[in-house]
Amino acid sequence: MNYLLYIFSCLVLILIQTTVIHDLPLFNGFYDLLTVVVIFLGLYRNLREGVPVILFAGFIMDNLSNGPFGFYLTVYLWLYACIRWCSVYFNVRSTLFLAFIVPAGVLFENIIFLCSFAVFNADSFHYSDIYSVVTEQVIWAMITGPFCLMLLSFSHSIWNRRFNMQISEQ
Amino acid sequence: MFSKKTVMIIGVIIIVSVNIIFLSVSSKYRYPAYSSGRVALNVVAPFQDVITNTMRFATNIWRHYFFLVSAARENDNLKKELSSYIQKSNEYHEIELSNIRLRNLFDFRQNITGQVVAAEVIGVDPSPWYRTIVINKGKSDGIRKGMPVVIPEGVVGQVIDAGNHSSKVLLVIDQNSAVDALVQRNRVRGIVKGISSDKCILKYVVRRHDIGAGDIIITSGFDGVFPKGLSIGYVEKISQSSSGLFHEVEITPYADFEKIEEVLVLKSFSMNNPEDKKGQ
Repeated sequence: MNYLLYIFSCLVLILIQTTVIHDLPLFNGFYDLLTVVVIFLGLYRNLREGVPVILFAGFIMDNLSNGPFGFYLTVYLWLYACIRWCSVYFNVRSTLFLAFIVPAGVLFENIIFLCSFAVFNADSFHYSDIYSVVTEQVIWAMITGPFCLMLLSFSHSIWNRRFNMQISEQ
Repeated sequence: MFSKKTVMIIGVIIIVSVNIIFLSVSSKYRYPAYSSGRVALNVVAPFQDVITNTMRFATNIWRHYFFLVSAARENDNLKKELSSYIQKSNEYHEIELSNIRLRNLFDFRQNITGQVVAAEVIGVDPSPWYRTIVINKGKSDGIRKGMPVVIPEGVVGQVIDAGNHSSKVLLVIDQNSAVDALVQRNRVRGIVKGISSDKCILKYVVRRHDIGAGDIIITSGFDGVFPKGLSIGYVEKISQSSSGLFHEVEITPYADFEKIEEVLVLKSFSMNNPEDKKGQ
């Protein structure tokens, strides 16, 4: 049943990202909201739950975006792997870690994007806006990232509680 | 000497007379310089003042309380009415704006002979590095990959993927977009490339050609995608690098890609003097 929650969250976030955020004046340079889901799955959930959801999210995003197919899949899987690696060495419950993991994830995602542009689209890509776009995204991630992670964690705990109650009633 | 009765009558007469005299005297000197009544006034007045003010204060509180209650109720009702009027006003304003947009689109559509499909923008690219939009018309409406997408202001892009009821449109400002173009004034040819920001660049314009800021860029029609003569944008600035064969021309598209809500997809087309329209 957790899959349902994650897939539903991914779809809602994708919808928000492609329809609502675009129209909000200050939020034009907002970061990819699914990054938070990937980080959450990497930090708090096991491989069996994380990988299928990430494949699903990457697939949808690749279909919606104009990037080459597999771009988002690649980014999310690499990000997921890095987060899992980080969770071995850091205390994933510490506030400091939560404050920096989302901006770091957003930065990581952008670096992969830019590296791929540099390799595959070097002649047609113009680098004039890179700094402003990346900076804006990282700042937004610093401000809102920890709250988004907490919100996901909270909704997950509520979901688990409801689900367990239903099972026990049955 | 006098009887008791007589004394009593005389006493009453004297008292009445004295009273009359006193009243007549006091009525003559109504405002004396000094009177004992003023002392009383001075003593009593402060208390009167306190009591009266207290009473007035209490009365005011009481009245205001009721007034506030009724005012608050009235305020609530007025607020409700106001919000409904604001909502209605917004709706009318939105209808008015969409009417203007659709009228423009319809006028523009008159210039195009051929099959045209009007569509609404329902989504944008999730990545800031790519510039595509999603429209609400697809294969079921006759939309196919490669069809040009335009608005009255100019070129929007082309369909790169068509689903059954929606399609993905590559905007001309995307880094993967290229449109064969002409400078309207002197017919110099070049390629308009997107740079994934709000601007485009005009590539491959040889340096010997005269081109200046404000020049209008239109589609050439040579790419086989866009009909000839659709406006793309105007020259914002020209960077003069010391080396190189070509000008580096920055173009500002006429279309405001952040605000597009409706577009036209040209299924088959030919234009009725669209160049004249911009040239005027």
